[in-house]
Amino acid sequence: MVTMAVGYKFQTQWGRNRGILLLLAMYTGAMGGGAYLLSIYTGYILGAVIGYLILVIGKPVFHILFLGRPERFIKAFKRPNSSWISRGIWGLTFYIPIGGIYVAPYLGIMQWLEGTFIWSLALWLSIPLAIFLILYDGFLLVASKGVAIWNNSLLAILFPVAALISGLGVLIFYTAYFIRIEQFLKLFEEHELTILLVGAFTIATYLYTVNYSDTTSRYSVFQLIKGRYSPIFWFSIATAIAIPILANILNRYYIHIPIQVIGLVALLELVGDLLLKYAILNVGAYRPLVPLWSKESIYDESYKVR
Amino acid sequence: MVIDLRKCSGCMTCVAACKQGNAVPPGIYFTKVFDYEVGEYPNVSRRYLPFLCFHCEKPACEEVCPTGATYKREDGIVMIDYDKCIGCRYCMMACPYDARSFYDRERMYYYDGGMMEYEKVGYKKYQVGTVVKCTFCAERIDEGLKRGLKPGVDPDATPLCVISCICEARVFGDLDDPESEVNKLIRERKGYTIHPELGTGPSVYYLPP
Repeated sequence: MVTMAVGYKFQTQWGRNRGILLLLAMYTGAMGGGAYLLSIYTGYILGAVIGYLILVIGKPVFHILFLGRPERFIKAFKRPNSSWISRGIWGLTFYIPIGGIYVAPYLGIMQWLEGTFIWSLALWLSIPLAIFLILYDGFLLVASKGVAIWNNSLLAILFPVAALISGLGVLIFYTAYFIRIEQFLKLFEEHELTILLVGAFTIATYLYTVNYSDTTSRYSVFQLIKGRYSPIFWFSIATAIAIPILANILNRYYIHIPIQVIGLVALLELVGDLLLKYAILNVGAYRPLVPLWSKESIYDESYKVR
Repeated sequence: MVIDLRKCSGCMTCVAACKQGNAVPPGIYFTKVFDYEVGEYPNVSRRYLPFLCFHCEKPACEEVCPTGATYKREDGIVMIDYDKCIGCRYCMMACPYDARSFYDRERMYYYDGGMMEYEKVGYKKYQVGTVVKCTFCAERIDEGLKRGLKPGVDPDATPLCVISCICEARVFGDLDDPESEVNKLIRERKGYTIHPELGTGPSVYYLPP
């Protein structure tokens, strides 16, 4: 007979084993959406095409592969009134053709569209849709009542900020290694520092807030900062935030960093963002079924469900 | 349902009865009995917490389900329509009690010999790639009601974990009826639910030890 004990228990379905596919769906969706929005903001059309392709290929494919019954995915459209998964699928369904109209001329398809009213309309409609798509993963997790550390509204801010960081990362990486247009690289670098600092502030605020919200969240934060997932978490902070900030400041004010190194730092940024999401998904724990009065319960491994 | 924690001896007969009666696949439990210790040496006692789906009044799992596979019956039992479930597992993240399991692959007890006849028949109702959980033995209740039996009173219309409990720690009945046995126990023994602050309104009450 299985021995069962009361205590903190990690969720195991999202972010582990086959759940990695869901992590990849969230990651590619955020990366693509972030890259799309930043490219439109900076007028870097090629970036918008890359962002669009990453989003529309990665997100739906990984999402569908993650499902236990992928052949039934069409049923997920049914309940946008109450389920964030349904809302996300609707958002994606609208974004794919609308964003597609905007990027099509740059992919050599229907080039006559460029500059027409439909093309401009598609551009303006695709922006709120892309914003929705980078926002909704956060809302989806916030609505998960079971997992205490996710059930905090600041996560809905952290996820889109992380999307902008990874979006910027993919744009810098692509530009540094494949296009080598200094003008855009400089433009991105100008925005990078602001986005990274906002990212650092958001992560710190999120962790500080959830740490004081309830004991289960505190347990998860402990696992993130000092516990089982701390190596992954700190590595992700170093690669997604600290090293890019340092490189950006050095390149701007002190020394000229070669373009290849800038690309490498952007690649680290991408890896870091993936690992950050991985860590946040995996430290998600359910609340104990009986109150654990002892303060030490958070740090005591014997309180874990066996 | 009301569970008297003073009476539960942690024998896990309910777990065995549920697994056998519902043909629950290996590694999955619709009901469990958790054990924990309270107090400090030398005044320590071991306690048991029988656990199952709480069939909440406002089920968080039902709210987040994108397909409507999770639904609430008129009698308050929260069910899963396996034909509609896509296996996204959002309900598992939403349930604050971790009362659901994912049936990820076909499982059997005796690997070398393949499935037993019992398993072949019993597992038919489950679908690989979907989420499963306790149904309060809804089929059993429905069958009993058809025969004019009363759930909670007649064993044939009562969940298996309740009728199998050797300590009579579990009591099943109608929470909407103020005069029911379950409501009397809740009133008299100050029954409580787990994590009421989350607003899900569990239908399983515990009587303090």
